[in-house]
Amino acid sequence: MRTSCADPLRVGFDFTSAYPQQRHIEISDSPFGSVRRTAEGIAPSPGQLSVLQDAFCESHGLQCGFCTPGMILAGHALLTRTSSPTRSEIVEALSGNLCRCTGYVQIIEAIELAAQRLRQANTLPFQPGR
Amino acid sequence: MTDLKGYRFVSSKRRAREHRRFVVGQGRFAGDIDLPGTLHVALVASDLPAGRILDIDTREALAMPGVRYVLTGAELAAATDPLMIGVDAPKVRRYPLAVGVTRYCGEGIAAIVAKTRAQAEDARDVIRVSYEALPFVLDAEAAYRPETPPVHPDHGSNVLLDKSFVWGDVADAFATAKHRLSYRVRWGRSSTVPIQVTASWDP
Repeated sequence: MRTSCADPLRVGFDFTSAYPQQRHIEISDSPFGSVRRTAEGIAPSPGQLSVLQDAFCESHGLQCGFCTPGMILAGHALLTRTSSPTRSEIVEALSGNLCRCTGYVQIIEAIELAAQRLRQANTLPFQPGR
Repeated sequence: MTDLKGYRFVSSKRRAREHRRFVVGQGRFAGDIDLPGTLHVALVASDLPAGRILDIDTREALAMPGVRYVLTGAELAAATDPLMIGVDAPKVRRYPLAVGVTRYCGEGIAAIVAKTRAQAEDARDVIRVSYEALPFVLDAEAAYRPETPPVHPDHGSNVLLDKSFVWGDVADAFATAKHRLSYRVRWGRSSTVPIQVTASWDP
């Protein structure tokens, strides 16, 4: 049966921002099990936007919004690893996701803007598995 | 250049109202709507750039779990009008699925309707299509030459449109223009493609 890893989330739990065509689910495995994160879990608290989510809005890093959860997760994972990604590192990090309307330039710019703000912010960088 | 300052929307840095719901994963798309009794469709895609469809064997697919229907181009064409072509070529008839012949790789040959997407896709893989391969032409400019294989034989040529688009006094505008540019344009293929389709039937 050709179900994808997104189907249990979409059908079972109504996390509709997960879909299989894109890397919309971040999976972190540990000896204690695995954590699956969707874009719904990135915001610091309900009603707030993360620096990255806010940068997507400001840079118009989205249009129809279909690929956005995957782009946000890919950008989030990248910024967890490095606070100063190069443009080619950003492109590589996004390469598992397809955008068919916005175009990649503004998405890349959104991640660059978020990285710049995170470097300037007087806070700890993103922590994996938070 | 017109001064664009002072406009409320044009050239102003603004945020789009809808962005917020998308960046937090709260966007809703047609595919998220789960109407009661929703059925899913998978398409059999043509393997050939040009071919006569000799047979579509749907028996094994129809016996698979969840499969409700297999629609072929012939059946669809018998029940519907052709798609609008948009140019004056009455003998070019196009339908959502290939009818009798296929004219490009990936063209829909049959549609499988099943209870779930997975069941529809599984059934798609056991549909057997027999083709007779036909000659084809891949380059648009080569297709212009009369000796190349016709995509729509009834139309008589591979040229569907030959038209000048003229608004106003173009000749005078060129004659009095300070500078004149001449260049050749190649236009990529484009088409409107629905990316979200969910429908309910209200007879």
